[in-house]
Amino acid sequence: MESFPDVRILKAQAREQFTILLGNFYGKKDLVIDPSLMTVLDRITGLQFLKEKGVDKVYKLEHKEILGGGNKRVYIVRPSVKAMRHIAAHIHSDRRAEKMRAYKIFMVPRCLHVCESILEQEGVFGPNLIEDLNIGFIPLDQDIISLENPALLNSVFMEGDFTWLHTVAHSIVGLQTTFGTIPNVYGQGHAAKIVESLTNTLTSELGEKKSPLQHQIGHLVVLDRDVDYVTPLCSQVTYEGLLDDIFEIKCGVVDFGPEVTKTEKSVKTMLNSEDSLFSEIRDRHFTNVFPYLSARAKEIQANYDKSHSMELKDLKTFVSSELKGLKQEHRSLTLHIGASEVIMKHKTKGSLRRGDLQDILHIEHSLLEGSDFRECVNYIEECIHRQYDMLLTLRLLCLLSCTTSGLLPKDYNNLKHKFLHSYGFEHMLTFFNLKKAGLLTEAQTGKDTSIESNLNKLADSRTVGSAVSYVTSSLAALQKKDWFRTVSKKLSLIPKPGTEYNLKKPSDMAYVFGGAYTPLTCRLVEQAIQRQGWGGLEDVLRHLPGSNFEKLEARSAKAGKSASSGEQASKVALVYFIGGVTYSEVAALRFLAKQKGYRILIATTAIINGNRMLSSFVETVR
Amino acid sequence: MSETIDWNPFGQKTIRKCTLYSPMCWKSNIDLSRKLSCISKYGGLIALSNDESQGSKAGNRPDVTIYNAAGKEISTFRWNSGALIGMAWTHNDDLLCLQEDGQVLIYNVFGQFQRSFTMGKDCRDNKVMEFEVFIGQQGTGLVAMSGLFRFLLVNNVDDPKVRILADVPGLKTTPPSSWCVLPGSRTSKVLAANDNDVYLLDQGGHCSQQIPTGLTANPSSYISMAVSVDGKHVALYMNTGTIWIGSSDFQEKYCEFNTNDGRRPKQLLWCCDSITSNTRRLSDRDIAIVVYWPKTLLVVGPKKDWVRYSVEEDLNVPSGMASAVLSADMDGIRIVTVNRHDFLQHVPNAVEGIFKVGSMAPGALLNDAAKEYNHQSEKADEYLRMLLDNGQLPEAVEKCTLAAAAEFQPRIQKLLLSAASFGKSFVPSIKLTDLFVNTCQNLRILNAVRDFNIGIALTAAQLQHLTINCLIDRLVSRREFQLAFHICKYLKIPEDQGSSRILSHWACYKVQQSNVDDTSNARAIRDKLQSARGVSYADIAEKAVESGRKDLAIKLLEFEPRAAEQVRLLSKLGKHTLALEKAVMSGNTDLAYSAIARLRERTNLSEFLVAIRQQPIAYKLYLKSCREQNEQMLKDLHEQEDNFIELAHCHIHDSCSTFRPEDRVMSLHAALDSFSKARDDFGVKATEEQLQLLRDQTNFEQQTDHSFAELSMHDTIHELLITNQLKKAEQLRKQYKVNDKRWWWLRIQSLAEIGSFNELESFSKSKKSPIGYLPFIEMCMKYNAPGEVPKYISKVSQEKRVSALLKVGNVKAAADLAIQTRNLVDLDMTLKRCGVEHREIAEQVKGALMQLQRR
Repeated sequence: MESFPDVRILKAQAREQFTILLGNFYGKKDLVIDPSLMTVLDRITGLQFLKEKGVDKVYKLEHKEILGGGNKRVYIVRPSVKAMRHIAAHIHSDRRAEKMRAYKIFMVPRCLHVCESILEQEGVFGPNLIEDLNIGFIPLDQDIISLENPALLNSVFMEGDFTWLHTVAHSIVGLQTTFGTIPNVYGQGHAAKIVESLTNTLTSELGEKKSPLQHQIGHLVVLDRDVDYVTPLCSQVTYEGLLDDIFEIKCGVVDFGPEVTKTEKSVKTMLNSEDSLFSEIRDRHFTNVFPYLSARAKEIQANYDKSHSMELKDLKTFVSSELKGLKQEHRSLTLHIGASEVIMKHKTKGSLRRGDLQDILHIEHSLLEGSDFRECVNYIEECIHRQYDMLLTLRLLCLLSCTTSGLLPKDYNNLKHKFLHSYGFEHMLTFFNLKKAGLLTEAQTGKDTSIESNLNKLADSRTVGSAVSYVTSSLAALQKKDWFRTVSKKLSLIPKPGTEYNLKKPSDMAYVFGGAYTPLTCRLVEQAIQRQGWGGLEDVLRHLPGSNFEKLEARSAKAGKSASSGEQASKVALVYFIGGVTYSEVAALRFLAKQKGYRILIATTAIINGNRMLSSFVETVR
Repeated sequence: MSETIDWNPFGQKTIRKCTLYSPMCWKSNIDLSRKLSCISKYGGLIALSNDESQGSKAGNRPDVTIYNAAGKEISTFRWNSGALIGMAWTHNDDLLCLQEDGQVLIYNVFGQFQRSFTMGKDCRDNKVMEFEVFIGQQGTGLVAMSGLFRFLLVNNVDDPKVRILADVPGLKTTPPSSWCVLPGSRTSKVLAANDNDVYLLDQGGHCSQQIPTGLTANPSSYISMAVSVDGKHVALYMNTGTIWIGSSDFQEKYCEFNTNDGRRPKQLLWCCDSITSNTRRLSDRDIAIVVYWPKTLLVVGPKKDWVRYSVEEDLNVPSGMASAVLSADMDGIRIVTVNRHDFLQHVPNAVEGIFKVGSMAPGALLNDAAKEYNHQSEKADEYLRMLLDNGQLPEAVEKCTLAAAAEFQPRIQKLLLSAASFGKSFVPSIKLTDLFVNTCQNLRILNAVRDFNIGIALTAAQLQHLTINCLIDRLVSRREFQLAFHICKYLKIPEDQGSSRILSHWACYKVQQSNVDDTSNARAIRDKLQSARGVSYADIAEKAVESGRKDLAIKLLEFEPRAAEQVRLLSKLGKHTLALEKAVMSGNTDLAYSAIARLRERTNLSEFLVAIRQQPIAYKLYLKSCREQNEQMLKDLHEQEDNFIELAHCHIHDSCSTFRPEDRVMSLHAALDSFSKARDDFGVKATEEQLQLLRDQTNFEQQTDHSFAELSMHDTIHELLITNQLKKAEQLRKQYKVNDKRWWWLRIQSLAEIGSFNELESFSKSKKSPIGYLPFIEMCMKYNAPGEVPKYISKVSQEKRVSALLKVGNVKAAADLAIQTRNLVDLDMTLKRCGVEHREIAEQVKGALMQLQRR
């Protein structure tokens, strides 16, 4: 992986900015941190670092007031209404207690107008109170960088609030100033299009400070999450995917509980390619993990055993050189074996709340293939009746909707009705949200009437332009009837039923779902890089949500003198997922990169899985 | 030789009076003698005004006219304020006008008022008698003498702080016989003479008498005095006609010169090179004092060398009146008469060396060599060889180049440059090449600005001191945009500092012209600026706003790429709707939010709603902010939009976020209402059901002490079942049309949960299970009754038994059964589930499999 764009520099940039901001606020200070930023800050700083910068105590931002602490306090928050209200309440309670304190609010990644207006309303706004702490990408690994902003999914795809897209565009501009302007850009999706134009605007606002750098990245593929909801809705079966589904990986760190460590303590483990054992198994299909682990265990044992028969001299070198590595590997091996056992347990035994993984996988595969529709519906009903874990039920429901391009009103109402009976009436809101996001939809039956009524409605508001666009989008929606089937056929995402898949030696990206399905996003990336654009894919793309675009550098310039490094860069692609990426997709893209000799750098707004994605749409009012 | 025709030997030196412009562009009947006048340094702007005291027809309303150095009128304006007593130019070409009452008004070259300040109460009460403007290190300064003969000093007119200087001792009713300003580095002082005593006055109230060193004459009064531009030299003119010339600290006397003329000179000023003076020894300094009486100009050097020029006086002027105006510049003296604008200076060394008769200086030799070369004479080689042998060629090239720069006539410039170029071909030196190229560039610019249309009469030394950038700024402030633009292009100045900046200035000027209509004006600006990079349309638009042209500003803002600027200015213009549109288009939602907030503040609600609905994206954003901050507004919006589905969900949201049952019911009724308006049958039904459920739950709570709060229908039935209220559960089952499958699940689960395994068994026999018998087994396992399992295993169909056993985790039983039935698929499945935990069973199953396969 030599000459891969070194993304660690991004971490250094974030850290430097943080240092400057802390440094500008002289003296000893306490930090109050937004819970959602805890892990992020952990990744870029660490306690020792904070101590050096004069940080005394660290609190978590909650509604509860914090009366203790010194006379200087820094809040580090996302620019959310809730956080602002908390801060205002804190300041008010300090005032009541007549506690004099200097405050600073660092907004990650930037201050929004709403925040200022709320602080103003609350009467706590002042000059120099707010600073922007522009933490952009957090490098989770050498090939994954993430904005760690899961809220984006909800706000962009459900509420249609594009505030965060500005941040996304900003992050691309930032990358381009660091790694050079990316010559070829391909994108699919509504948000991607907006990001592309925002990126151009921001770049031109920066002026012609063209970075003199030779570009290190040749291609940028920008994909909206709503282009492919199917992939994150499937159960993950790669090792890292399973770890995420079962233990939940936060910012590249997993917390292994006592059931894994077999001791009383839980262990926080950093999951990245520096752990050679982990990097070997992370992307494997789970069936291939255990054999490898046991082989490795034997190897390590052999190495330990070797020391028994050693001469004293050899033993000395062994202890000084190899033992440490062995010990480390041993520790990591123990953990991963423990984790695998827990996963196994989940897989085979099933549970009354989660159902049987095998059954679920079977249903998922049927849904992907589009076979046994009734059986699937019945299974989902059973899940509802048995009050399985709600997110699981919802996941299957959404998968059903996404693979069939919306449920028939009869099925939709039936399932929704039962769902409400089981899980409570408040999930009317959840259904409403999912419908807005396009995850769980009702297929249009009376096509003509619906368009007509929409037209009539819009005609009243006399906004002809939007009416026209609405009509075209409605028409597009009609064409998209059963689009998942069409697209998966055209892109051959799903193998013909009956063909055996060799999971031991996978031949394509479908292995990440046990050979049943190649993630749509990954196939799009493959095609875009291979074809250097979307040319020839028009009849696939027109079925996908949103519009597509491509921006290619002039071919003649490429043939110029910069050939040597340009050629290297042309093998490097940045894939940007707006709305999050799953570990399965990451694994698939790594596989693709290895297979085709590319280097693929993955940028995302957050790492998601089915549960996290859905829970961001579930209304939690209480 | 024509090059030396205006030269005069001046001791060891030579002095020359070059004609910059002749004739002048102005009308020849112009009367300089009767006018207040002033000439600017660096460039020679001329301002004239009818002298009020002469009682011209205009009375108290004289006209002030501003000319360039060639006498071409730039602007004229009517003086509308109080009594004008004088004018002067500041160091950045603004016209400073002083009124009798101490008010100072500053105008630009176009006669546009810039700002004003006052010299204080003393001046207002006692009137200003005399004043002097000087250029010090802090900028342009001003000293006024009030009617009480008190001196008031302002060091910098841009930051006017009036300081009062010490009084001159012994003055009672007569003004000081003469005075002048002595510019200093931090603060300036005044030299004033009371008859034959000279005093130095400073602002600390100190007053010290100065005694000119070695004064031999015995005057009764000093009637005039002058300090050089750099403040180093001073000249005192006595009533005996003697001039004492010396250093300004009075410690050194250069000479005493007797003119034998006791009249007060019209003007007394220094002609000296104050730009390079610091680098030279005193003896080499080119200094001379110039005395002007009508018709005569006397130039006196520090070694008593003198030259007398006659001044061509205006014929219309009564004899004995002086009509010429003199002004000291940095390296010479400007002399403006009706017919000409002359420049008196010491001949620069380089020029002198070349053109002086019989000069054998290297420059002169090279010039001769070049001349002979052009005549195809072999002498060229001879001269060149002399230079080469002495190693003087580089010096010669340098001198010729510098001399070219110091010349005013392009003919001579060319001559000298070609000589330099000729010599340069024998000297490979980058330094000389650079000098040559720079000189050519500078000369080209100098000649361009000296053109009578522009009329900036700069010498090369002045240009160097002023800097090119400053010259460009001056061109811009004189609206000579085209020339400034071309100079920038010619010098390849980076666009953002150069041509783009000029274009911005041009556009800013352009928007102030009211005679062009907005559309064509905007188009003209766009056409010109399209190719220029780094132009801020927002700045131009701001200028347009300042001159009250809103529409033009809005048109210009269309071209502004920076959305933030665009939106900010549009909001400032009150174009909130347009600002919102642009903010939305920029994709920066934060900008949109602030635009929305501003729009909301500035307009009434109905207008606001009309405006925001036309922007779907903005509307969405507003909805979102309402959801977070103003839920009532959100509902109102949905109501107005007839968006009942959304409205219904808002009500549901309300019902979920409250804990008070009555509020909850109320919200649900509202939701029900909205759903029915939206003709959403499902919503209606579901909401009705929920209302019913709430009612039922309340009933149950009253009948039992169990709480049913927050429970779903399913959970409610479950709760009833585990508390043995089968009847009520049955009632609910009927009411909500709970299907058999769910019912069976509920029954099985709750029976197992409360440990009624007998009842469970009888329930299993009551009817054929719609969900099979596997759930029975699962529940028995879950609630720790493995003994109950066999009761149901027989009811599971034969082929599913093994998988059923596996499902409930009973691997042992499954293995036994599979081995017994010898089913290949079952065995395989069992083996897969064995894993590491059940090694022994796995071995058994393997054995069985082997047997089967062998067969």
